[in-house]
Amino acid sequence: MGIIGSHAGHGTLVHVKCASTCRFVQVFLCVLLLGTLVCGEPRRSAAKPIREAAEYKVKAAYLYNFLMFVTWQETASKTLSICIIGDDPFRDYFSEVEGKPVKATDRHLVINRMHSGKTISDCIVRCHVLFISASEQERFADMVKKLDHAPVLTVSDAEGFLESGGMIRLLSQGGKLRWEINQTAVKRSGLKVSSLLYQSALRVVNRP
Amino acid sequence: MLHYKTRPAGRILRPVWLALTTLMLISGGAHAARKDASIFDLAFEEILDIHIMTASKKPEDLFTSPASATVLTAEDIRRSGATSIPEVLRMVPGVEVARINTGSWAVSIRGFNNEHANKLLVMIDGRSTYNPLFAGTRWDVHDVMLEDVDRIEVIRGPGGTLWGSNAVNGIINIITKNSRDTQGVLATGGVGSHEQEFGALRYGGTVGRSAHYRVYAKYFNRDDTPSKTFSDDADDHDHLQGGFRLDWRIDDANSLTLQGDVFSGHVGRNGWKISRRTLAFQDFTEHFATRGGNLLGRWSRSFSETSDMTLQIYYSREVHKERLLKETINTTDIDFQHRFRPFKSHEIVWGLNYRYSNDHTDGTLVLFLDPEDRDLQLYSGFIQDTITLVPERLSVILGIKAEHNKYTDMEYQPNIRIAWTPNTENTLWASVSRAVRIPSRVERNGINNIAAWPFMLSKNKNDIKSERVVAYECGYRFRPAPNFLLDLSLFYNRYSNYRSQTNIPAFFVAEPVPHIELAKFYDNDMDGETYGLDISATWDVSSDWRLFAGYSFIDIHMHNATSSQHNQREGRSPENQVYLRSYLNLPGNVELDIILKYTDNLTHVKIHSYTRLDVRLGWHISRQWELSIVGQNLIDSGHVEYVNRAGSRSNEIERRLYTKLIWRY
Repeated sequence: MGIIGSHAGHGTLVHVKCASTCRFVQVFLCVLLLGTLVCGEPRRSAAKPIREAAEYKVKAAYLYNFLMFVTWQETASKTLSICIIGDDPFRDYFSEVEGKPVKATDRHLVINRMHSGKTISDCIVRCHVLFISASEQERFADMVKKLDHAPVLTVSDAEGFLESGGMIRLLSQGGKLRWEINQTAVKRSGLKVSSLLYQSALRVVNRP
Repeated sequence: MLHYKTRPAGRILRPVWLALTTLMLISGGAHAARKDASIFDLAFEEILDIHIMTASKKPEDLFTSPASATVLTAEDIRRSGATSIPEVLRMVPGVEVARINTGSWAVSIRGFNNEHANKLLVMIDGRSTYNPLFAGTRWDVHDVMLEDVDRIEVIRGPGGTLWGSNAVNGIINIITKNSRDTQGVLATGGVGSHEQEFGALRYGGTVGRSAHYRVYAKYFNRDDTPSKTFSDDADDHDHLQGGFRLDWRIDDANSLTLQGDVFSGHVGRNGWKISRRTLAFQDFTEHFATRGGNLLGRWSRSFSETSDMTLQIYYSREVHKERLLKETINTTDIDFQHRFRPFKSHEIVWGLNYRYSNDHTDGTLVLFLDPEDRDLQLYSGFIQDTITLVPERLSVILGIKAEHNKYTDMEYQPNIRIAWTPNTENTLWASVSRAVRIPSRVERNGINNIAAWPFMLSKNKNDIKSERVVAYECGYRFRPAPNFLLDLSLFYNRYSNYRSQTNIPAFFVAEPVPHIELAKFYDNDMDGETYGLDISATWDVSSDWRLFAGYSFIDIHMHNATSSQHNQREGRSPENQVYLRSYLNLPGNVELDIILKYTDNLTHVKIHSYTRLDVRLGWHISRQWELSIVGQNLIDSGHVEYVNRAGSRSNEIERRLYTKLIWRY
């Protein structure tokens, strides 16, 4: 490691500066190159530093993770489904996981995009997680009421969702995505929800 | 011989690495073109940490802010491999960090670096660490659990309007995480050549539904460093610290934070004392005790989206049982701030602050204070208006702080700032601000002996005034793509009333022992100017690779005093600093992180330029376990980074290696 090892005195001050700067750059680049060459085709790792992502991409990831934090009574189904009702803000974000087994389960992910005209009984049959888009704000109370006691985790990012009887509201705080949870609504549905969803919630409320 | 061998090697390598650089850039481009890694593979805790990209969130705030600032994230800190706050700050452009020995650092921004660098204000969770006796921050007592730090904001340039006196050349704001984000168990431990043994334990839990808390304890024991001046290497340092934080969200509008820390440590040091018997100088070795703690409460209430208030009260205590001068400082601080929007285009922040500090000192012939104990009160008020001239394009900030202190009475610190963001890719800003540095207790009341009998006593004149700066700054930020940011700032600072020293002719004094008095007085007869620039670029080559490069330049000119005093002020800061950083994810959950930093020579204290190479290799064995090996200062076997005076207490910073294991549950 000749380039790194030397710390011998050089002639003039200017010389010292140049030599050490040159060596500085050399060393840095060489080590970098080594890194690049080694990781020619980087694989996915659990420690990816994704620091920023589009708002609905993060929300998509939340909905996906909620599937792992909730236990549904029926076990016959070979799929887990996320339904989106109203305007779909998720673009193609789910495409990479749609149809594939959900992490830590052997059930495949289904994404149902539903028209707002769909009947609620459809939702009860077809959805595990129901994301109600802000476009449906005026129908929240009505929809949630009809879903009463059904094992469907209702999620939205619109204001007043919990007050209308919804279960989880996503909101951003300090630039990061967080949620509030309505314990009464969750209990009523009979869903078993991981305590983590309560512990890390911004707020736990009890709204009938 | 080595030298002779290396030069040709460098020449031969040059074309090779030029070619390889090109290759690297190409492959980097290929990485960037690849679709982003999947967010669905992340652990839930990792998703919680992702910032949302929208037009008005925090990263944006920094992008359009009319000040020169750098924010270090928790990830930046974790991957730096640094084990203390000053070591973390090494990677921030414009911050001068030089380690004097194991327990002390000289840290400054934009010039005038010193062990007691008095123009930098360091805050930890809203608590000032400024030591009113010596001025500046004593780094041997201020520590945090680095894993719990949310971010470190570094602001270059004056911040007197918001932060008050002593924020002359910069502010460092250390902000720890809300305890909601530190739930569960975290245990770390490690051993190393210098970081001989260290460890930390933290537990976070909930109380009821709306309150979260954490408790922690940490310990380290750092080895001594070889000293060129003393035969005994004695600067080892151990430190034990514990603390808690409770965050309670009372309801939608109100939240309460209560936090505190206590610590106890032993700092080894070589020094000189004057023998009471012979009145001659002697060197000695000591391990003095440090102790202290703090308790802080903060109540925040939000009235609406655009209006909120914060009331904060803290008490802190700092004890150094140093032989030279034993000191105890107690500080109580009450701070109130209110933000509101009286008209659509005006956002006003105003606040009031009261600080009471009392100290108790016990000195020696080398240094003592007269009087030994003293109370100091500071009270201040500020108001700042952010005027939006063109929504999301052009804004002006006008603000002023008035502060009263016991030494110099009223001080005014105004600023004006303007930011123009013609589009989302560009921001231009400019500012003019004034700040003051109020005298320290030692400057006002200190008496120190600079020579042994029969030449003794040098008295500090007790009417030294505040030092002043008027700073002219401008800057430019350019973000052509979400994964690239260029940040440039230029500054020109004019200092007046700068501290100078007057030596008066020696005279004979008969009491208490016959001696010749060599008196020197502090005055405010110096003035001067500094100018320079800080430039940095951050590039996320791919989701697996972040590159950072920075360069800082400063030129200092002082006038109206003897030339030796000019040199003292001018020659303690490096003119040029270069920063390079690479954070790379390798296959198999391995992280390779490299930090390279070049620091120019310090002419006054005869420190040669040096290059530091720090390499961290981290491995996420599983969700719970993380192992890392860190090599610091790998290029040379040892170098001196700073000495207080030419020829005094020079300790070598050696090549260092440590390994660390983290367990999360």
